[in-house]
Amino acid sequence: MRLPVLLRLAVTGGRLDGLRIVLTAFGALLATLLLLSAATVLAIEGEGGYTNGLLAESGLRPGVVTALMLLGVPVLFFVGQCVRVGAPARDRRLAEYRMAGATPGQAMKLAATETGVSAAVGMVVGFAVFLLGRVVLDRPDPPRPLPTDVLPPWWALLLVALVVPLGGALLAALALRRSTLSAFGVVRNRPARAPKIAPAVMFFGGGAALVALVSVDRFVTEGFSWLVALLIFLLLIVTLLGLVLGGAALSAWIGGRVASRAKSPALLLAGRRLVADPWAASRTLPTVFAAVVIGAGALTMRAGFVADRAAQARLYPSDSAVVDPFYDRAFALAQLAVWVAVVVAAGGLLVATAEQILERRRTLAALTAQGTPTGVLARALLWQTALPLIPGVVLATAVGAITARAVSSPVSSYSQEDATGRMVEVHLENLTPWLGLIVLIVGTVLVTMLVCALGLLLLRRATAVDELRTT
Amino acid sequence: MTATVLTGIDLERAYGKTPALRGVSCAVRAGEIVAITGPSGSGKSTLLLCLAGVLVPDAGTVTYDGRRIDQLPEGERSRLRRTELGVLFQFGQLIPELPVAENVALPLLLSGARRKAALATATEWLDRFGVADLAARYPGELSGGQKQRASVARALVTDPRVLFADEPTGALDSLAGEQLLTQLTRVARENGTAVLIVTHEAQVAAYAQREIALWDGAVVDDGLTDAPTAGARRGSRLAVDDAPQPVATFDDSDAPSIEPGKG
Repeated sequence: MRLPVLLRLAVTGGRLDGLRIVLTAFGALLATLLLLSAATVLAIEGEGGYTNGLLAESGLRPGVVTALMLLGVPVLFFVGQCVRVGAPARDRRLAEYRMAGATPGQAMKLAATETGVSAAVGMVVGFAVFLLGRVVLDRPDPPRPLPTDVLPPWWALLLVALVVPLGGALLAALALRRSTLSAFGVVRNRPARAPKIAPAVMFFGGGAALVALVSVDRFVTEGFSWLVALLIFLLLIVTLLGLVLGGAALSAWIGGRVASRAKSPALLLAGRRLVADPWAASRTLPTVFAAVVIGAGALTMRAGFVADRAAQARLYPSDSAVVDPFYDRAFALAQLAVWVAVVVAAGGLLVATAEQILERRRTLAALTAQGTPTGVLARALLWQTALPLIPGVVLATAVGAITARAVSSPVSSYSQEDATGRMVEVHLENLTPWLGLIVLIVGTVLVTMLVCALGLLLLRRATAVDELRTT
Repeated sequence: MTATVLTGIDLERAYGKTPALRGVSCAVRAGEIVAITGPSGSGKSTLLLCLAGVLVPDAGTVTYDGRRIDQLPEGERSRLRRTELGVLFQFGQLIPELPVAENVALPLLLSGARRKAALATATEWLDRFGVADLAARYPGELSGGQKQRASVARALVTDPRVLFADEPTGALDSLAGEQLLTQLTRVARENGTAVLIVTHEAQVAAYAQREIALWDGAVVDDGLTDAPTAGARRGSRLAVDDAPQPVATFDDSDAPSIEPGKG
């Protein structure tokens, strides 16, 4: 197939196809901005020059890069969700191409090209926003608030320009890997059962390697090289894949338990849906879980700092019990990043909820016509999110808090000389920030469920009688 | 003579500017099996959905068991469809994620029945349609005929007084369609359930005791079939060339009774 024909066929379609293209482009725009920001921070040389210590101190910049890369993960999941919007309509279109003589490979290429083109558009807009931002946000007199005087090397820019559209196309091809593109429609081969061992190995193995790598003294004092940054990113992907697979296993397990005992129709529908497609939840929720692990870790580390400063202030009353504002700001930034990640992940969940409703609209319309109240269907959709979300968030909070506690404050008391030179036992108090952790759990669940509930606005339309005639 | 259970009088309904029903009147007696026939676009499904309370007519009245259901709020009509009326479609009604037994038990669970009791009743109904052995299977593992028999069981599990079936055999081969209709009409007769079947197939209409023929949104024929419970009876009476004139009007808002045999 010639390129112009491929491009022409790839971007045709109806309203849902248009929505998918726009959402994919938006996700690609966010990814481009994050990657360019990370590349910019990595390109900063020397000490000082910026008002924010996180940018001014070379030893702290790798942490900023890691945080930006972590933010890239929910964006990646968001794009992954967007490429599924309107999948049935796209599948029909692909089937029509097959009917017209396209090979399965050509049909796959069309789907991948559509996503690649959408991502390329997002990438171009992302570059424009980035370059415009450098001009608009620039403050010529140092110290600057942002590194607007630094441009990443040309090869890094080229890498971003290539990675975003190619990554998008690859994502689309991966999404269709279990499908057979036939002339009579796209047949989704029965998804494999949720794995049990692999997620644990990937999550704990990848996580341990990641912690070990970032703890190496030389990297802590001298910062990361490009190669180490890449290795960290790859380990992060492995760890998060473990989380994705683990999310599927958790969803299937909870769904099965709930469905077999459910007395309410909404719980029954939600539980069975989780068992039938545990991957639906695992595509979106792991990013929420990952953000919560980091958020709980940051909260606990901060509590450790505060406890230590308070203990030192008791020993040396002239010292301030307040945490160094630099670290406090760093923790506040980490919390902000966590909430941004939660909102982006919840956005993906919104797209997923809308997609589920649209995909099942004929069944939903039939159920409504047969007397099923819309409220039951709405509650079923909300339960479907809440059932794996709530235990997952609690578990993620525990993992983040315990890990941070083990790393930053492994002991709750130690011996030290006081101001008079006597050895005294120092007790660290309030090492676990219970209130903060509860706020994190409740806030994450609330934000996620509220965003998810927005998708229910489509439910009334989807259950209209007209949808009974949808093919 | 059995009492009238459902009446539609002077029903009008349009989709945008296109009229689908133009003053249609009809009545259904308890336990009666009625076929609504006509070519595509004649308003059959619209009439069925209006009578079932799924659609609200633009004009006219629908009375079920002495109550105006066209004036009820959606929630109330929804409850009625769940408890006293059954609705059956051509496809897309079994939830793919639920095993067959839970699919059939769902209307009972929605009405507040206990899980164990609902599943037991569902299994009984599946048994009546010869698919009890498939109770634990998922809809995706069933043939079209098996799926539709499970759907009929679900539509009847609440023991409705009227069953509305929109092209119930449309997606089945003729043998599976015949088997389904034979079982459906037998069970309906045993239970005293009135059945309204929308179809454009004469073979399907032949299972009915009465046939209401629509043409262009109006009733053109309403009368007893030649052989109420036999198999295939005759070819379609409605040909494009001889578009008939509306004949059946219903004008008895008080005590509806249609004289059978008019057509």
